[in-house]
Amino acid sequence: MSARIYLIYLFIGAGLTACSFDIYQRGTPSYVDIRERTSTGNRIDTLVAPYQGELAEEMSRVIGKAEVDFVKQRPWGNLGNLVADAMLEHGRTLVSNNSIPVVCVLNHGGLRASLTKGEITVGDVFKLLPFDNELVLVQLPEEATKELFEWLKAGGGHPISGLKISGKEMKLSSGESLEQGVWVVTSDYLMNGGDHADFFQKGTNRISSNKMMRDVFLEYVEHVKVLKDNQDQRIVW
Amino acid sequence: MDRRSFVEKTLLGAGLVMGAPSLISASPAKRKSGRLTILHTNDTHSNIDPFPENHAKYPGLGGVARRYDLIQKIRSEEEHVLLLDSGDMFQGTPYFNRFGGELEMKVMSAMKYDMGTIGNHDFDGTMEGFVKAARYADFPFVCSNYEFTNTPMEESTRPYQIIERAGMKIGIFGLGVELAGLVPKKLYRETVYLDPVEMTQEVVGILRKKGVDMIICLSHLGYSYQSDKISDLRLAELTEGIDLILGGHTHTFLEKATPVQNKAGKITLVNQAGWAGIRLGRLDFDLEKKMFHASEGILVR
Repeated sequence: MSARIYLIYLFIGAGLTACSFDIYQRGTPSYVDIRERTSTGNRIDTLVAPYQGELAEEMSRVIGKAEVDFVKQRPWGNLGNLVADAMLEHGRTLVSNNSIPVVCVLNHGGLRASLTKGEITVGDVFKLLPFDNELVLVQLPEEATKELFEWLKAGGGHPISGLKISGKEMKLSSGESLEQGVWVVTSDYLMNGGDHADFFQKGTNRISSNKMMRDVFLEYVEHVKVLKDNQDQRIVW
Repeated sequence: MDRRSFVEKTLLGAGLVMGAPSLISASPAKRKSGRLTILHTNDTHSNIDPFPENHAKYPGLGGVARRYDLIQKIRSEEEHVLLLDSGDMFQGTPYFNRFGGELEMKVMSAMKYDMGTIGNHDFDGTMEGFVKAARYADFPFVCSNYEFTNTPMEESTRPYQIIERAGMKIGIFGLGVELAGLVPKKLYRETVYLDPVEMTQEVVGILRKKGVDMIICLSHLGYSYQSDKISDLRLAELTEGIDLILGGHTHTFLEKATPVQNKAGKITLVNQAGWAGIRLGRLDFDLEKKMFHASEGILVR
């Protein structure tokens, strides 16, 4: 294995008074190639190998199949629809009071990779959802849903489920209004103000799932086995 | 040696520009106690494997096996080496998600790290998780400004540690970033965050009484901010007595250590080595001239 070390020599040496920081003399940068590892079969390789093997095995485990490519798009896309639907499905099981509608709002930036048509592995899901964000629920009163709408608009669209935006209006996907407020399934990242989702601060109630979104999605894929295309146009400005 | 003045002495060689030290390039022969070589990392974030060769930003860089080789090579050339880490060893690859940090601790122990500190992501696997992983650490963690009383991490850190190296007594302490708003409360629990500036002056006072020759701060405060949030640069300015701050958190790649005029008008050096084990920071302290004479970021490749 070849290695290259990039060196920059810097020297403290010139005189210094209290207000002068001109103490570095920059040497000529030089490159030193290390053509081979200085110790082959080192202790680290031996240490890492079993973990690497176990991880490779786990990451390559096939958990389902994608019928099409799922891509990240704005204002909506089939990947955002898929992930938001999966989160909503799990979130619904955590709400005991069914009198208030449950919806899901995620952030576009939280989805880190596309899913390619074909077999889906655990590793693919780790690439899609690398952050250890927890799935949470926040109850929002109607006026906060207006801010949510503005946030979705300002961000150019984010993954949603259970909601539909057409033009200047946001409604439940059933077509009903949001006047009684909603339970929003989301990430603890957004709930805590990440991506400037400040409206979550107006939440009147919160539920933690104590479960990472990645684990929710892994279980979802394992459960449904086949991921079908979902071209539901949830956001049309 | 009068500790108070060693950085000052460092800077008294007016007009003197040292010749290029051969460092690791020229002679593999172990040199005679000419210098203390300080190697450091920060925000390694569970990057056990190198970045893939097709990675957009850091193709083929990093990886613990290469870092180990590099450190071993430097150790074979230098008599006095100090190896330190400034926190966020955890989180960033499935190695952490699946194994909870024990592999990170094992590889750092194999590299013979002398000390580390606690970063905000080192809470990610819960405090019990940290304690469990830290069983595999052969080195201590220092942190002066997290009060861990009544938490599972009560015994996990010490405020400072004195190490003897190259005939010098080196006092090392740690500073963590404010946890509220950054780390979920359920992860840091009853940990109390104490003011880094106050704690620095307190610890520096103690270390001086113990007659140390050099004071190093392992910081996870971050290099600098637009706001007046406490950072390594501000800490250096607002305190006195620290010779060297080895920082983290902001994933800052510095081409050279930053000299800051501290409260006493002396110089405190601040350095940071990027993140992910892409770089190994190196500073050499000339034992005869009592000066830091080189600093560099070595790309681990």
